[in-house]
Amino acid sequence: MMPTRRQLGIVPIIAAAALTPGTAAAQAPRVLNIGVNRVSVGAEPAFDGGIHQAKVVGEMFENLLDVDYVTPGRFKPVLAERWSRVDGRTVDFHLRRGVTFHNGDELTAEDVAFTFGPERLLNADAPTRGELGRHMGPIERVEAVDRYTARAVMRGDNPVIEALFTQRPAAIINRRAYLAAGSFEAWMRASVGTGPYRLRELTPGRHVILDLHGAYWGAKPHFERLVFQVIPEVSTRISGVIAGSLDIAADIPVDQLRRVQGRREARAVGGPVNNMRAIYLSRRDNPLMRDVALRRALGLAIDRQRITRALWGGHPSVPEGMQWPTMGAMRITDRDWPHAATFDPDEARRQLATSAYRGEALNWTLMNNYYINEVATAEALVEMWRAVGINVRLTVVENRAQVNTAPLDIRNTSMDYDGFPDPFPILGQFGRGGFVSSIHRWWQNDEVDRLGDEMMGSTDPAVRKAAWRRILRIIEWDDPAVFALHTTAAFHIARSDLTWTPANSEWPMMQLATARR
Amino acid sequence: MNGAWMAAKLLRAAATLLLAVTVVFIVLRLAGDPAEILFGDNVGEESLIRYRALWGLDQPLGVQYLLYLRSLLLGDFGLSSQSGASAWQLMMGRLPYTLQLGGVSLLLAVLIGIPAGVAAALARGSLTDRVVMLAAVSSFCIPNFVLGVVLILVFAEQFGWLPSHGTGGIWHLVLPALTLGTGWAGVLARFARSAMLEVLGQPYIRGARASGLTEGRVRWRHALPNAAIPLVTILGFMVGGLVAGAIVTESIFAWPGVGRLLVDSVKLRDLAVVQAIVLMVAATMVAANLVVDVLSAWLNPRLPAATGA
Amino acid sequence: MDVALAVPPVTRVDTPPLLALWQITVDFAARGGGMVRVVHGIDLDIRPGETLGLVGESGSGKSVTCLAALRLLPAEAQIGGRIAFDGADIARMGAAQLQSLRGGRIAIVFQDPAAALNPTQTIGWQLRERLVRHQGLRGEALQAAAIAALARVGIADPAQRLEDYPHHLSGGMCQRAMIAMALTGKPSLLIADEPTTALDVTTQAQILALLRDLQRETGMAMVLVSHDLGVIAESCARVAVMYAGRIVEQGPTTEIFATPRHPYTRGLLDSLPRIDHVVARLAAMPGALPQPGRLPPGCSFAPRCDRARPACVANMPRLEMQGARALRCLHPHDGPPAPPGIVQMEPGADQQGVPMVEAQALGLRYAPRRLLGLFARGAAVQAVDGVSFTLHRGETLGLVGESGCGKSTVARMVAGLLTPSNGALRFAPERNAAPGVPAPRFAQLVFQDPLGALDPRQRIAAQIAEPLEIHRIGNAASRRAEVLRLLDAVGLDPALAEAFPHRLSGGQRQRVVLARALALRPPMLIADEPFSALDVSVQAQVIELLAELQAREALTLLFISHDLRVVRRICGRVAVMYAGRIVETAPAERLFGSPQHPYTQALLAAVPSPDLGARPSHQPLRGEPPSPLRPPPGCRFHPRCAMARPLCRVEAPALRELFQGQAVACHVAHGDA
Repeated sequence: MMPTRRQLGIVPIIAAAALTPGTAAAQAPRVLNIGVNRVSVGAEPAFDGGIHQAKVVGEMFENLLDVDYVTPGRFKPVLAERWSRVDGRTVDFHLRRGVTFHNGDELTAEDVAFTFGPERLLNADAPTRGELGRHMGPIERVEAVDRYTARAVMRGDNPVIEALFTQRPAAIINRRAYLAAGSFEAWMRASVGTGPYRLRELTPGRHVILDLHGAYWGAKPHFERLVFQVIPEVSTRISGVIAGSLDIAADIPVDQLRRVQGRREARAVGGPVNNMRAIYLSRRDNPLMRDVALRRALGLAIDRQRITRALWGGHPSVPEGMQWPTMGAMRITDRDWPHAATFDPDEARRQLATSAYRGEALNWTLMNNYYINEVATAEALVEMWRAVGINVRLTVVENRAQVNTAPLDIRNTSMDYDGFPDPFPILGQFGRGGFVSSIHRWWQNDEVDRLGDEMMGSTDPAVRKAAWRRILRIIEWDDPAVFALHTTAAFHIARSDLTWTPANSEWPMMQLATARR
Repeated sequence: MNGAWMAAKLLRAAATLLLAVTVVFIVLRLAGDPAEILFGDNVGEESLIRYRALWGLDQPLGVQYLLYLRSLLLGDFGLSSQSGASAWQLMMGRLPYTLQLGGVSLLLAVLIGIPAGVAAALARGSLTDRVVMLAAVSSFCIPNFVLGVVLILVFAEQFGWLPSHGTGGIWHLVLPALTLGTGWAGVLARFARSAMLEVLGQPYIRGARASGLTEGRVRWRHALPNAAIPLVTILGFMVGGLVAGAIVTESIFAWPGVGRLLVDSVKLRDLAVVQAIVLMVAATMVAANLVVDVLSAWLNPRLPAATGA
Repeated sequence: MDVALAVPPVTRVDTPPLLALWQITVDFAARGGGMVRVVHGIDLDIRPGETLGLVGESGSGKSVTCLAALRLLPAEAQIGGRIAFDGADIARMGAAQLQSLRGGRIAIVFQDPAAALNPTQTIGWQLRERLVRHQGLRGEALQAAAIAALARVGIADPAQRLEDYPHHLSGGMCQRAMIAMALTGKPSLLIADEPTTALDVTTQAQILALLRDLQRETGMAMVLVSHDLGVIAESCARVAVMYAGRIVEQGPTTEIFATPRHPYTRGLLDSLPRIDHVVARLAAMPGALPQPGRLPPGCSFAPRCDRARPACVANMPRLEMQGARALRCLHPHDGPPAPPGIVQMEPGADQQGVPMVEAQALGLRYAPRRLLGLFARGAAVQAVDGVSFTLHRGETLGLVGESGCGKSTVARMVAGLLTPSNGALRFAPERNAAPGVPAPRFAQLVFQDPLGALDPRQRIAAQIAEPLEIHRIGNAASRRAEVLRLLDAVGLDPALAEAFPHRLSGGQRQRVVLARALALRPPMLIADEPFSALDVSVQAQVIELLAELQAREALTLLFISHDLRVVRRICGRVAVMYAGRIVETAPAERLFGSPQHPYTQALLAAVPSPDLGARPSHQPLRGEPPSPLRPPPGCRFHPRCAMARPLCRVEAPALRELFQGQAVACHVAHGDA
């Protein structure tokens, strides 16, 4: 009896050994191994999965058109060959012919219409409806005019319709596959797009494997397989590249880059990206935060240069308020209110003195380094605020739900603007129906709502710019809702024999299709 | 071993499992809404409501509990709220890796720790003894993450002899198993030494020597089997720690085991997965203790179960 | 007395010795560094076929010397001197030679037989192991030899016993098995280190008889180490007395015990209680045994010796040979010892008044273990069955019996620590509480192990005062005074009041326990083996103390012991228990003078005494006490009783009065069968 029991104990171990996948097949396709911090549970472009999802989705899905970074204000055709304005609120997209989805279907206007349709996006209970508020808000409907023409109709006249369709949530998906999946979760794990790579295997917490899409309409990538391996420990990722078992180690904090200094096998790549860190100010939960002087003081007390030097090696820049270079002509460069990046502790104290604030604790709940340097930045800010007499209490939690249920006076964000050539995304945050003003209701301003309508309702650049100036002034100074900290820089470590440059945006992100050895 | 004894043990095991799952069930639901975590910031309330209904989270706690128990008895462990995959599949996909890592680590720990402890006991007071004990204490004082990273730096990066992460062959197991097993080896060495010393001080050891038995026979046929008795109990505890103890090692080496899955699932309040894993861990502990009981009875005829009387 | 030589005679002096120890010293590592000498230059010769006794108390070094002879001490011990065995020097032998010598030509048997056997292997496995080692047998021959070996030492059903584990066997059977294992190498010398100390007195008699028979058969020499002078007297032709690591006196047993010359030897003999028909006051030696590292200057015994002179303190006396005797003393005794003072044992008891304790058909049944509260596993055990006795005020009742007879269980029931499952316990009205409930002001307990009975973290004074505190008697000052009074009453130096228990010797600790027990001035004391853990010389002191206290404070005493000699000294009335029942009760004089129950007779006959010496006609009681799980039907003693009749097998005899004050539970004694 005794031996039997003991033998039984050994069986699972033998079984376990037998179950492990063996080494990869000898005739290896050209594989690119990328070490990442985590992977998302699914590959769905309109699902907010953060930067780790964007990496994968960026190789699988494409938009109708892309931003042309070389010539500001222009767009590159991708899935749409050309497009034409029908009227102030309507644009027709003429699709490229012969584009094949990963499942063999041909791209038609039906797919485009479905991508932005009620089931997926527009209905109140649609799974990706959240993206509406942030990115695709003005869309009223998209319909198929004919097989290769899709018509996008906005709620009202809108000067930036084309730009809207360059964003990540506007990537085109396959209608048939979505419907066949049965549930949104199932679709996420078996999604179908038009991009150079298709989804072969998605094991949450472990890896995502993408295979070359044989029938891809565009230039064939060099690597036939992309393997995103989850390696949570940064040090191990770097070691993997140095040792040669990885080609790329993604998202390396600045202070770790010196591991490859002077090494021949690996080098650091990357730099600034179209993303900025900012601080939201909420007056929803705490009456104290209604005080304008307090909120101004919060912004004035911050020494942004110091943060970028200390935590980021000086790489990021300090933006001119809630603006970015690709806004082009819409950029406000002449302010009649203090520059958003002003560091003036004395003025901060003067503002405080006029307020009713008497040192009560303000609440800031944040996640534990979901963003790189999140906690360190927060601690630095708390000290800077303390120096002028503002008391902020930090609470670090595990997940976003806990952040959202906590009383919130201050909240940090990492906002990517993807080189959007217009201030429109700001309205997606603070304007009518916006993320901050409507969905979370941290802050809302009737004047901004009205100005937003003005800005988006006109095509006259002068009118728009005037409206934008006043919006900017309100959200930065008159009724502060937010202040920008700095832009972000993203770095990776790659094998030296790999020719590759990552994009400087979240969308597209890594451009692995362009990598070659 | 008789049937009544086994039956009693199995009943107790089932009660333990039920208690474990119930506690986890209640605690998880008290902190954090899975739907919000899944969908993040910018989702409207309506989507959240729909998803809560889908997952049955809008029902009273007692109802959810009974439904869960019922599905358990039918063998249905539920779906992951994060990915929609079957919780059972998710866990079983990772379990072989945990077993591999845990099994090899335990084996390493036993093969290194016990002989070291025995050697130290036999050479008590000498330099060997002190060196071994120093090594043992250091090994369980050095944190996993330090040891793991150092091993990677030296063996993977510097010399390139061993892979630094992932799975794929026996060599991938070496560094993670060393990282995990070293601490346990140190613990086992300490216990083996003290167990051996205690046994060596017993009158029957002197009696065996006095009978003219060779020193080797006294040590290996008389002392060691008796010293093994408390060690078996400790090994039972270690087996239970197989899953949870490997979390850090799994993170460092990107080893796709259950430990990391558990931590991620708890953070994301992926209830079905957490419950499935807790059940599995509890079952492992219970099974390990059963094996320990049986082994102990076999090794130590003084225990009542052995006689069946 | 004219002895038909059952004991091998002292062999002629000119025969070369089998084992010669010459200037043996043993040093152990001391706690604070350095070495402590435990054995100081022992010279001993053992001749072929002779039996040498080695007598001494704790710290005398007798066991250490024997272990040193075979180099069985731990590696930290340093042995000096020569150990000559058959020409070779054991102290310088190589490992292989030493291992074949051990268990081969020299075998050793230890004190606690169950502990000296590997608990996780069967007897047969361990016996076969030795047979293989020393006789090189295998297969069928091996098994047959194992069975024969067990049969030879008197184990019934040897084939079955081979499959048993040590914890299945009784103490006596384990010791027999150990002896069998020792014989596998056909030794010419057997060293027996306290082989019977852990055994009951009847079992002891069996084992000693066995050893003597084996010696006669094989002609092997034996060294018998013991603290019990009676055991030595019965078995050994020659004896060496050790004190503080040295031999102080040596010579033929009969001569040494008849006319001891060394004051220590004489004191030992005087300290030993007897079971004669008179009761001797024990002449206890004052003081305590010296610790190995803290020997007094000069003669180690001088501080306790009433014949000490200045010369004794100045120099350590040398061991002088005087014919067949050796002596290490500057001022020895001459002539035979004076007869001891006789103690008149008062009936003392208030026979008329309300008894302190009255037990009627008292019983305690241990229910079988239950699995999950439902399934019974194992049988019920009736530890005490139908015990009836009366304890009068001022009386000392001794409850004697061997291990497992239930005497301690009865004591606990009387103390209120256990609730009887049958029968009734009635107490004098001042007890004031229900039976089964402890009543500290009525009876106090004194247990066997004084170190265990005292809190190691509390000072002596605090522990003695604790009962007063708990019962809120007096205030701090009056309690303090009471503590001092009690210390004085038990003969302890008041300076010890602030000491911790581990600083005190065993005897002093037991005095503290007595003092604490008396703090509440209980009318009754229940003492359960209070002296078993003490050395003989110390035991005598505390025995006399207890006797004195009992007389002075008019205590009622329920005294439980297995040692009949001590019971004879203290108790006015005795009840003998066997297998949970009382088989005889009588006033002490009658019981010891003319015991009526066969078991009582066997018990008394088994007690070894220095006066009686060797008793060749004495046949020890056969067999073992019955298992409480399966008591024999009818009279429980009948399987071992030489006088058993058919009726005894069927009907249990009742305890009925036979003579005035003497009640016996035996059909034969009453003439019924």
